[in-house]
Amino acid sequence: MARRGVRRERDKPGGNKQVERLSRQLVEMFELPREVVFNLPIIQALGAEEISVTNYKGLVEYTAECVRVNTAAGLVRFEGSSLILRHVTSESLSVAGRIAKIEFIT
Amino acid sequence: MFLRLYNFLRGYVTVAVSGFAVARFINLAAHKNIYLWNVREKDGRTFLCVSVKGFRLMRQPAKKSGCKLKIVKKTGLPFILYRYRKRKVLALGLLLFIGLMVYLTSFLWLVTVSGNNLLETPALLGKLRELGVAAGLTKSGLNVREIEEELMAGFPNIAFANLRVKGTRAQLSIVETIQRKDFVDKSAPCDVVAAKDGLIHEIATDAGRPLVRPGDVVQAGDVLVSGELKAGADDTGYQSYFVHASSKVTAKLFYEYVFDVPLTYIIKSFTGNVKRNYGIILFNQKIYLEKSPSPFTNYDVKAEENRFNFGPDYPLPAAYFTDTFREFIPVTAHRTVEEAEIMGQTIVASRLLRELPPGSEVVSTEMSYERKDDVLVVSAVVAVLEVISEQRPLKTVNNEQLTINN
Repeated sequence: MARRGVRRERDKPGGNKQVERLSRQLVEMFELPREVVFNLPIIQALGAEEISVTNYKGLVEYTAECVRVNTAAGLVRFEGSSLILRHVTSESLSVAGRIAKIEFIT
Repeated sequence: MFLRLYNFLRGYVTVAVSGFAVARFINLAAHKNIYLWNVREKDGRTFLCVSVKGFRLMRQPAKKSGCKLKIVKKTGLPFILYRYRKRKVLALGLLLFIGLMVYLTSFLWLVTVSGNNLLETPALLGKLRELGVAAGLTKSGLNVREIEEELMAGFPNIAFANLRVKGTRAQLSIVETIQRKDFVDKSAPCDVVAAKDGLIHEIATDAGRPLVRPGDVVQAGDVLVSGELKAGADDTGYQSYFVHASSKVTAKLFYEYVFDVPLTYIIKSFTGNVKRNYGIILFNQKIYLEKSPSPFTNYDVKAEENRFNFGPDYPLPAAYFTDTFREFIPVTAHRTVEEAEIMGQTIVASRLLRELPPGSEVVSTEMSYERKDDVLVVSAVVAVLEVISEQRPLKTVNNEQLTINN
């Protein structure tokens, strides 16, 4: 769970819509990498067999049918069957198995 | 694949985690930078793989999250070593084996020569041995370039030599020079003479003064086209000048062959009975595992050798060989006179093929046969059109001679 990037926990949006808009404009203008600036996770799916999540905050639930991962973009839920976690490190994890659904819960 | 190898070398365990907040435990472990993999659920328990180091660090997070850890499998080199820790002699044997292999492969065990048609292999092998390349000699310190150069210097017929040392094998491939005629200088004066006796059939002269005509009979050594040209010939004399005579003279020659074709001969009829002697060759010493003289009265021997290799590039100084004795019964067979005549013709044809120089033409073949006892005496007279011209350098002695380049 990396804690890089410009935005910290206490700078969550809500009252900071202007900051958010401004930072988005800056990022777009200078073509800065968004995942670094906003600490966003990168979710890569290899077919329906394997999904890697880089830059996550924590693992919330793991069962063979449902895996839930918390990220800076919200809670991501993977549903399927025979799900395993192929790799788990502090920066990324990979979910493999018969993945049926990917859901973003914000 | 390399990750698996690395994990295997370091050693890892498969752990069963049971408890309430398994996800929390995984989080804590990952946060401590412990690498986990193959996290799967089975029968209500969660299994995961972790390195031995990681496992030790995991005990505290397990306590904090209220989970119980149990090792279900231990995989990896450290565990294997631990299992064999008492077997010191095995370790010693393994070291000895590796040492022996390294030692043995530091020698040459096979030297081969290829590409030599004119030079004889034993001569080349002998020279190589002098230069340090032979079976049983050490590989180190051999300078391939130097050896190749030495070979080319030692044998003038070698145009190109390439020595490759691969593993315990040394391969020499050479390219031979095409034999040059002794006579090279195109401007030196010479005559064209006859190489053999014959009847002149055709002359095609490029340079020089022809002395013979088609229909003349010449003997070996006769001058056919002279390199001496006479200029300004009159009653007082003439001035000679010498050229490089060149001419293609074709003549008709006769070759005579006389030989016997026996009408009764022996063929080997193999009975199918075999007897094998076999054994091992070690460092050029034959060790027979089974040796007994041949029980047959008439037999053919075939010797076979199979070399032991440590791979195609690493022949070892050991081979196993088989001597196979196959029994046969000599059976007399007969040819008819007609068959013998045909055989006679075939023999003449193959001999002509072997002996005639290229570019020759057979004009006629006359065969005659005579039956003498059990043998057919075959005589053949073959008329051949052959090029008999040959250049012979002129030895100039007279100081009045001038040489003019063509």
